[in-house]
Amino acid sequence: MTALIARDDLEARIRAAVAQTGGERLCAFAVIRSRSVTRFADSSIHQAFDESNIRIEFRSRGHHGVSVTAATSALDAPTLAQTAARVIATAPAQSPPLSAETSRDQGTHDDSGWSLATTASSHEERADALRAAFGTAAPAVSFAGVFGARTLSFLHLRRDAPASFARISKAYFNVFGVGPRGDEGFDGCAHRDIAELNIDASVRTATERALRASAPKRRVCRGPIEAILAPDAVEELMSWAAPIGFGGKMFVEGAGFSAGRLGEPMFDAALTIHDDGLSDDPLAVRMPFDCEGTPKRCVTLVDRGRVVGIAHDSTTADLAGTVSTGHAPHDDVEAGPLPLHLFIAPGDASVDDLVRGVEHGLWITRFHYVNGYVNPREGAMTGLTRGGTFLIERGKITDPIETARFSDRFPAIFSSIARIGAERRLIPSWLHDAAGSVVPAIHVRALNLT
Amino acid sequence: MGHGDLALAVDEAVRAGAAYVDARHVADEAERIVARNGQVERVSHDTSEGVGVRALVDGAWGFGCAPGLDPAAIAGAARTAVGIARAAATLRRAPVSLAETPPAHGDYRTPCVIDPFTVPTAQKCDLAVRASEAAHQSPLVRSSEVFLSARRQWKRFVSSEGANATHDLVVTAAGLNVVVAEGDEVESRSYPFEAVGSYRAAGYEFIEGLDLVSAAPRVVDEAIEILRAPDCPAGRTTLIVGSAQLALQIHESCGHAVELDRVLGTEVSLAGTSFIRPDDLGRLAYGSDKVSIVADATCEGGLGTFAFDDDGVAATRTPIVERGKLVGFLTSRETAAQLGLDARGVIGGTMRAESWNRFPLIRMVNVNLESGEGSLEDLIRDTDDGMFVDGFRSWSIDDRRLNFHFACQVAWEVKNGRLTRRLRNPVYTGVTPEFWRSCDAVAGASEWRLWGLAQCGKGDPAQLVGVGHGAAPARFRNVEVGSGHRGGRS
Repeated sequence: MTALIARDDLEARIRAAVAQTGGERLCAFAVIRSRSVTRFADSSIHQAFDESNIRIEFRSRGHHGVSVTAATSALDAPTLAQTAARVIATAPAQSPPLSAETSRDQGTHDDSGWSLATTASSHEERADALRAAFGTAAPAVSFAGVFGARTLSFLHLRRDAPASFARISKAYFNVFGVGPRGDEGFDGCAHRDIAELNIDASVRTATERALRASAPKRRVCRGPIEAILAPDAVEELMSWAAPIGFGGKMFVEGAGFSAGRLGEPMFDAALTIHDDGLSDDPLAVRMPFDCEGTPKRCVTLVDRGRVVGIAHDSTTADLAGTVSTGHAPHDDVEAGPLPLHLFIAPGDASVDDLVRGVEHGLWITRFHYVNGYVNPREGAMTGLTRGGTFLIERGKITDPIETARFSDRFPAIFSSIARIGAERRLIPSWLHDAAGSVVPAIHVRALNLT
Repeated sequence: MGHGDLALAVDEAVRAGAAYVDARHVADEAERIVARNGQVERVSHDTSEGVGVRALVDGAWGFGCAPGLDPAAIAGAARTAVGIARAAATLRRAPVSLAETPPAHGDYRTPCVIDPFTVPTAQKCDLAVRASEAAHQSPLVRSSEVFLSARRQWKRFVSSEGANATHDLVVTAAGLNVVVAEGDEVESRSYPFEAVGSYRAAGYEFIEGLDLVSAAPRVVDEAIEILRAPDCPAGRTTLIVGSAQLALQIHESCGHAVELDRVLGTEVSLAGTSFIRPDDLGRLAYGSDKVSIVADATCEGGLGTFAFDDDGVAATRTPIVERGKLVGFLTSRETAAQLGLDARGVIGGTMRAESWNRFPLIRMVNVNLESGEGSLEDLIRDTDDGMFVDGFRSWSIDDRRLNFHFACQVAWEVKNGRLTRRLRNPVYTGVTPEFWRSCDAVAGASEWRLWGLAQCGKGDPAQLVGVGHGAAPARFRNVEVGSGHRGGRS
């Protein structure tokens, strides 16, 4: 991956466009994305590519409930000025300012969430690493997945104020072991520093799960069943809870499951969740400010089972009578402000402890195609198991089961927690390039299978 | 940028050792207007332009890209693609070969009466605000949201085989969503499709034709009726599925299932595979003899309509299911060659990339259920006991495209040939081939509508492209239904 443009050069070009355009409320938010991806299937690389893009968004700030943006991937001065001018031409001339406080650029330069090794990762290195990992695996299993490295740079500026800049990286490896009859076992790992990924371990785990999944499958009855949700499964549910429970848009509409219920006990008291884009945790993905330039706040969403916080941008904050928490979405996120950096407070149990604590239940490695729009007001979701789902009987993982569907309410799933794992993992979220949750495995008393 | 500049990039990659190269210059433009509760909330305008180069070297693919139109950067992207392909070739089992097709030539434009980008933004904002205001005719309305959008994608495709063709594709869309509340109960209803609106490859005349302002009060009335309706009972019943919901049913349980890359296992990561095996072609009883499905990249107005794909293959109308039997796949040149489908004439261009910076994948075009006979009214009249559902709310299906679950916005009980009462929170589930085999009637051409889904996701990382689905209402027997209330917990 090569840098598309240096920070100083980008800033100078955008400043020139802002100055030339002259709008007092005009600000700019630029995202530079670079992604280098190796996709493989049947233990063979079938797609390898470098993707990059620049998106420079000019925004007219401070209008009551109005956001006017224009964005371009072009860096030449005329196009930038023209794009900025479009915002001025379109923005309402007389609209009251937001009552809530909006952005205040800090002039920060934050690349503590960035790793040179990740950005410099090459296709040759990744091909070599895959060859080595596959070479030691059981011959009955083939592998499919993705090994990628991405770098994102964010720049926010407005006239007469220092710009805020952040750069982050994320390396990720997702692998499905595929057994001789197509049974799958999944594992994955992610870290800002590609050198910290242990892809050999993930390949071993995926192999073990694929081989275990190849045994004759048993069926489980419909209805509630105890389950250990591995971190990938927990993250998938959390990613859906973000828009329907913890995001400002559905909250102010009254359509989400937390609306009107702040402070009420909704989950097991063992559950505490916060969102923190500023975390120094080496596992975390950092994103210190949002696209309005507002510094991220650490927001406690769930405190010992009670929903106590919501992620807001300036618009939803204004409607809710509060201040932005620094969660303004990029223009392409229709779901509104979302918490993208979730942390679930860990427990004290090892994975073995968790398994030993189940008399009859399921180990769920991950979910597939969860959808949280079944009934957002109730937090109703449905989805399927994937990548290795096994019975736990008398404290031991035993046989694989057929793909199972759950249909349940998010609050209900986490209303009765037996134990929470001590070890947490970074799981990238599908919500956004810069999203990732740090979550443990959780033993829930009842997941409703349908 | 003309053909010559792209051809230079192709030449660069060929000189570097590529056996096949294609280059795409893509310029995207998008505008979106959102009004909420009678006020403009957001106006956005996006442009993005660049060049992507795909190269086949030593039997493996590589892809590089460059934003903007700087010739040096584009040549660099070509060299990057070659270098990546060389690295990929060190870990491959079988070299890629491509089915023979004539090089793409020509120009294609979406038929538009009114170019949506020539309509003043203020006029569009006014329409969005008026439609949103029109929804606030009841104290139960908690919020209304109206959006209008337009997207243009201009593209030139050039290949080392001599292809040189352009596209100018325009998609317009609009939608209205209302949220009503009474006590702690909340319900939403949208028009004309589901929450993400209705999309069509057409000009601004499509948005005008939706008549959002007139529709708004009716949508509110429906939302309130649904809010007060009894919960959908659980059990097995005869299900009549409306055209809009059937579009999504086709998408999830047929369109994705017949993508040949999924069938061959190369999309295991993220998207998944398919319950269909390559040797099911010509054998598998996909549905009943009422079910015929085509992949049609030529029908007017579809989001999957074009003249050639990003493999340079001409758009076709390819049968997928004929009177219940599987007869086709969605293919690329690579996958068609793997199965020898090119020699059998079973190849239709379906490769598309989201934009200039993405690697093309097999994507649905317009995957349409062919119409049958009669009207929706006839279907209902011919049903003693059942349910009618339409308008999707949520969707979920397993990684092999078998076990599906849909929640709908609208449901009616059907008794003795009549719609009797509304039901709330309807969901239905099933298993793909069993469901399609239970189809005993599809309504006729007068009920057939082409719908656009703007954000079909596939790939890893995911790419979003628009696809189309045409359908007339159809009836399915012995389908499991229930309520999404309480998430399915009893």
